[in-house]
Amino acid sequence: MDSFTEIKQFRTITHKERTMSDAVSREIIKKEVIEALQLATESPKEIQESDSFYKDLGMSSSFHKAMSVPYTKILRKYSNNTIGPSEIVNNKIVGNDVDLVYSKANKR
Amino acid sequence: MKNSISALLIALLALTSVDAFSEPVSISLRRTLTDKNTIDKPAQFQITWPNNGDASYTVDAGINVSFNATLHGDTLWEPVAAVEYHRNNQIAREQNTFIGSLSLLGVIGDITNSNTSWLPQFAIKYKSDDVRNNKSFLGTADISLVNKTLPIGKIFGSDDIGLIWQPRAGLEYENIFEANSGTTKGNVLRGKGMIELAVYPARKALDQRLELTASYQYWNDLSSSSALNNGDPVHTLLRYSAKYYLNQNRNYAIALEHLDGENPSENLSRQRYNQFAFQIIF
Repeated sequence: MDSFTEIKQFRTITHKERTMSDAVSREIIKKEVIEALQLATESPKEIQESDSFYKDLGMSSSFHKAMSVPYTKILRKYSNNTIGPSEIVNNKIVGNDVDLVYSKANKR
Repeated sequence: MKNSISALLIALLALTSVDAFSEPVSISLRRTLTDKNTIDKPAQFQITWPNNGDASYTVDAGINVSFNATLHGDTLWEPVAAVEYHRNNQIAREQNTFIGSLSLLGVIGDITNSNTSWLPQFAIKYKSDDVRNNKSFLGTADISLVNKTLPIGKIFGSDDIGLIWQPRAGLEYENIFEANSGTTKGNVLRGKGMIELAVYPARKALDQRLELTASYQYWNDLSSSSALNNGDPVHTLLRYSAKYYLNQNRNYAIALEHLDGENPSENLSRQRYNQFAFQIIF
C-alpha cells in the first residue's frame, strides 16, 4: 500500500469515528461489502481488503461504478444515505470501499 | 471565454440552491466528462518549447462535482455538474472549446444478482468555441453497460496479457444559437457510437501499469438545418495510445498518443497527429 492510499484511508476513518458508539460495526460492513464484490466479480479466490479493483479483481471503473447499487442496498439497512458511482470510482482497493460504506452507514 | 466561465459559475451556484444538489459528495479530474462510462481517460497536459518560434501547448481537462444519488428499486441516479476545457494553440490544429454540463448518471440493475448493469447518462451542455466563434446548447443521451458473460468492463486474460473492452452508443442534439460572421447557426441531431479496447502486456510483471488502448468513435448527422448540411454527415475519430502509469494508484501517467479524425462533440476539427503528454487522474 502506498502513502496516498494510507492517507486516504486515515482521512476516511478517523480515530474519533472508530471509537464512537456506532450503529453498525466496520466488521459487519466489511463482510457485506466483500460478499457483494464476491458475487459481482464471481472471483474464485477469497477477496481481501488489500485487493486492488483494477489489478486483483479486474474491475474497470465502469464495473466499479455498477457496485453503487448493491452498496446503497447495504447502506439502506442502516441509514438513508446513498453511494453514487462518482464516489466509488476513485477508490483503488477494497478497503477504501469498506471505509466509504462504513462511514455512510454511520452518518446521520 | 470569461463570459462563458461566468455564466457557468452562476449556473452552478444556482444549482447548489436546489435540494438534490445541496451537498457535493465527490470531485474528480478527468480528460473529459463526455466519456464518463468508458475506460478512464486522465486529464492531459502537454507543452512544447521549440528552439525557434513560440511555445505550443495542449490542455484536455475536466472537473466534475457529484451530488447525492437517489435509489429506486435497482436503479440509481446521481446528479453531476462539470466543466471541461480543450485547448490547443497550434495553428494547424487549433482548438479552444469550453463545455459546462449538468448530467444524470444512472446505474440500472444490481450486478450482484444479475448478469448486466446498464449505465445511462443524460446531459445538457453549454459549449463555447473561440476558434469557430460560436456558442451552442447540447442535449445528449448515452448508454453503456457492464456484463459478466461477454465480458464487458471486466479485465480478462492471463498473467501475461490482460484485455478489456467497452462499447457505448447514444444520441446528441446540438443547437448553435450564436455564430459570428463566417459561421452558421442551426441544429443538428447526431447518432453516435464508440468502442474501446485496452491491452495490458506482461500484466503481472509490469503490475498492469502499461496500457495500450485503441478507440473508435463514430457520429452520423441524422438530420440538420440546411445551413449546416454542407459537408460529410459521417464523422470518425480513431485514437491509439500507449500509456505508462507512474504510481500504483494510477494517478499519474506518461502517454504517447496517435489521433486521426474529428470530434464534433468537442469541436475538434479533422486532423492527424502524434503527441507525448503527461496525464493526471483523480
